Amino acid sequence: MDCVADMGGMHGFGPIEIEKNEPVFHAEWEKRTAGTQLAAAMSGAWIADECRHSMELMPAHEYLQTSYFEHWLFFLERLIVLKGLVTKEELAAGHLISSELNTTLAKVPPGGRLAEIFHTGGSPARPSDRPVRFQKGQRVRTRNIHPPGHTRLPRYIRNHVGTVIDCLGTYAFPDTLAHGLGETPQPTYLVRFDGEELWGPDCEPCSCLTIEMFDDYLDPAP
Amino acid sequence: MAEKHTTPPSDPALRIKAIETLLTEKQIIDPAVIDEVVDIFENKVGPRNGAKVVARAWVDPDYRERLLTNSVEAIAELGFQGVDGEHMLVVENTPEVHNVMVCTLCSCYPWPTLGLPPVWYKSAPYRSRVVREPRAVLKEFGLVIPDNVEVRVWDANANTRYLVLPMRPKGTEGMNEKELAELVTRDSMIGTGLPLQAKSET
Repeated sequence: MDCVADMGGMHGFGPIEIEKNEPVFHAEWEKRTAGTQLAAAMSGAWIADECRHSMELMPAHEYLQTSYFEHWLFFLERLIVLKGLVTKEELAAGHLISSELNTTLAKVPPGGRLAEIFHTGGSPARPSDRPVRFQKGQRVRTRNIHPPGHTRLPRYIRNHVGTVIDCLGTYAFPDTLAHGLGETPQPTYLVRFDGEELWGPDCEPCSCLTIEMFDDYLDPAP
Repeated sequence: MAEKHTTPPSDPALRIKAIETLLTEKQIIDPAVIDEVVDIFENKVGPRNGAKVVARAWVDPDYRERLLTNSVEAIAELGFQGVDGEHMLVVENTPEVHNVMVCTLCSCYPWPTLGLPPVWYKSAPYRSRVVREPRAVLKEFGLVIPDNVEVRVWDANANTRYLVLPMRPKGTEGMNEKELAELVTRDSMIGTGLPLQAKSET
């Protein structure tokens, strides 16, 4: 969706604020937020694409005025209700109202298994029947599309011509995954764009941008 | 359009407390598991891991070759792998090319080698600007890239996570792998900095 989270290339955000010797977490609530979200995610409660899409649904003014872990809080509150783990009323009350403990979610196993689950990871690589349409060196044009849902095709890269520098294999598609619409596995490619192609003749000299593009984002370019 | 009246959001500490309490009461999450996750990100992963990868590549040409051609397996040789490191591409700085990474859409970052990202990496100024004006952004980090050096920006929008392999500083010929790792900064592996210089012997 064309939302404020898709901020590549926007003007007006000012200088980068760099904190020296920054800690991993700045407050106890950040630790609990990260820990709760990641423990739930690693137990299979939801997938990253659902988290990312939930953050995109934040009202723009709220998104810009809150910290990153507050974005995580926003999607945690959304997803635990959406997934039926708790009701809206329970979330508002801060305690259980229904006594139902059954859940389809696998309970996070205690006792040191988290490190192992983290270490194993989870790749979205999936087999696909879809042909690899583009080869290394081929020119491609990104589609001028504006999906109202989740997408990994940022606005600044749409309708531009780049060159495939690698074919990466086939992967599940975030644009459908985020909405529970299946994996739609397809090839992805690393595509490189000249700075001038993206930003016009007044751009900085001698720069390029490389980004991973799903097959559904691309058309052949002459 | 009149502003809608909205109730101010409550304190984040209270909000996460409510969520944690609910999920604990539901027996979905054991609070001890939350501590385990925090421990992973505070103590197990972080830029010290990435620094070991870089230092190994500096002293071992065969390892460097493996790292650049099959990044995931080469990084796993040092024991670093897992969530948000499943698909890695290590990109090498040279006298002709300087690399820098970003995630414009959210904050994708190579957790096993760098841990969680700093606040500025997740911030609107960095995410909006580094794709459009990377040289201006790098200058704010104190890094001036000559116009004849190509700046390559990598937007981690999908599966691949990046790690920059910085150039080995001059004057470090006599240093061993462990000493070299001490020179590798987090920012030098994001591309917004350079490794520290070797302390000159006086």
